[in-house]
Amino acid sequence: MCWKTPYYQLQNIGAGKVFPSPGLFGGYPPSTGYRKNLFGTNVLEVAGRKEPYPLADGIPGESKIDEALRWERAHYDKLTVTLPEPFHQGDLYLSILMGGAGCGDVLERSPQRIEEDLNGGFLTPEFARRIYAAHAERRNGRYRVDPEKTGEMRKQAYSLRKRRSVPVREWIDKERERVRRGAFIAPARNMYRQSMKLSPSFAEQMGSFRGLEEGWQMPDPGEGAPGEGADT
Amino acid sequence: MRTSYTRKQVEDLIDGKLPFQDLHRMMSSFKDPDRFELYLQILQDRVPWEDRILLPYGLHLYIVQRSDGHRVVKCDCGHEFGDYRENWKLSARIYVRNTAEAYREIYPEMMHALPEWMELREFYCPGCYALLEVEAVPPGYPIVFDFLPDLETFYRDWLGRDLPG
Repeated sequence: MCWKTPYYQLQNIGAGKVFPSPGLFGGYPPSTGYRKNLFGTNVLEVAGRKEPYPLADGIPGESKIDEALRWERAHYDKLTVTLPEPFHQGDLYLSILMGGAGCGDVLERSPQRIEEDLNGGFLTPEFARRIYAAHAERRNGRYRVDPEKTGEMRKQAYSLRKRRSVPVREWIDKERERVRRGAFIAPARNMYRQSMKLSPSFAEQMGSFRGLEEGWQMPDPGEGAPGEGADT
Repeated sequence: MRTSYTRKQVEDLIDGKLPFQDLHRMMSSFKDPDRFELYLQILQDRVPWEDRILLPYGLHLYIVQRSDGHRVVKCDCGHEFGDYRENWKLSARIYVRNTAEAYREIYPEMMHALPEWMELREFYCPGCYALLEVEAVPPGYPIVFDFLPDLETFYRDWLGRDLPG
């Protein structure tokens, strides 16, 4: 919160559209951030009335800030870029820690570690179920993960992997036409065009490795498209 | 100063059970020269097959020396991916998360990449369906070949012995 200053200029940049890093050895990437700058909030009134005020946002769908506060104007989006922006007393800037990369297969995380995450406030039971296929129950204020029910849920999770996955070579065949047409956003197309120009081995990976004809080029997204011109 | 650890200590290191102070000391000390050998022995005893492990390649994967002379990438479940000089991912199974719906199975709203900017490619072992690797790349990106080790040089110049086989 901006406090005891009539004028404050804030700038920040984070990762919102893309993951900030990959996971390791089968782990998932950490979450992305989002931008939540709130202008003209009632946080000072809420604090003045000695009512609880939020110290974090929590999960966006169940935002603690949204529950407790009101504001006049917001930047609330995936842009995660705050260019020099004036803030005034009582305005809020949410700083999001995106966490670290996951390491290893989520279905192998031990029920005990998941319990520790739940009781430490780092994980919700809903995401324990969705990510780790773990069954958590709360008793006497503490979470417990049931190893037997978790084992059953994990069997189902493995069979879901089996049902919805395909052999990689089949997938490459299916992707070929999309790559040929360059059905990607302009910054990605420009990135591919520039990388293919800079690196013959990358160009080979993009084109002939996939069975695209000799001399194939990623279609040009057009002059002035985002990401264009970095190599000129 | 020459350092050395017991088999139990290296087993605990692999399993993430080494007390933090011991781990910290281990990381700050000179590397024990026999570690790789001990590490390989432990891994070899844990896998249910006989092929000799030449190099651990991930949490489930190993480069092994087969009795017929081929060096292949093998999962601890026994599934073989083929010659280690080729990308094992090409012989895996894949599921791609490239919609908001698929992302929200495992991430809260607002906290995942935008599908047109980045997709998650999950590579599974066709034998046991362990999730072996997750690529986070823009759609259209070539499949990444993570690691092509130079086994001969590693054995000859680092371990000071010939590559078995």
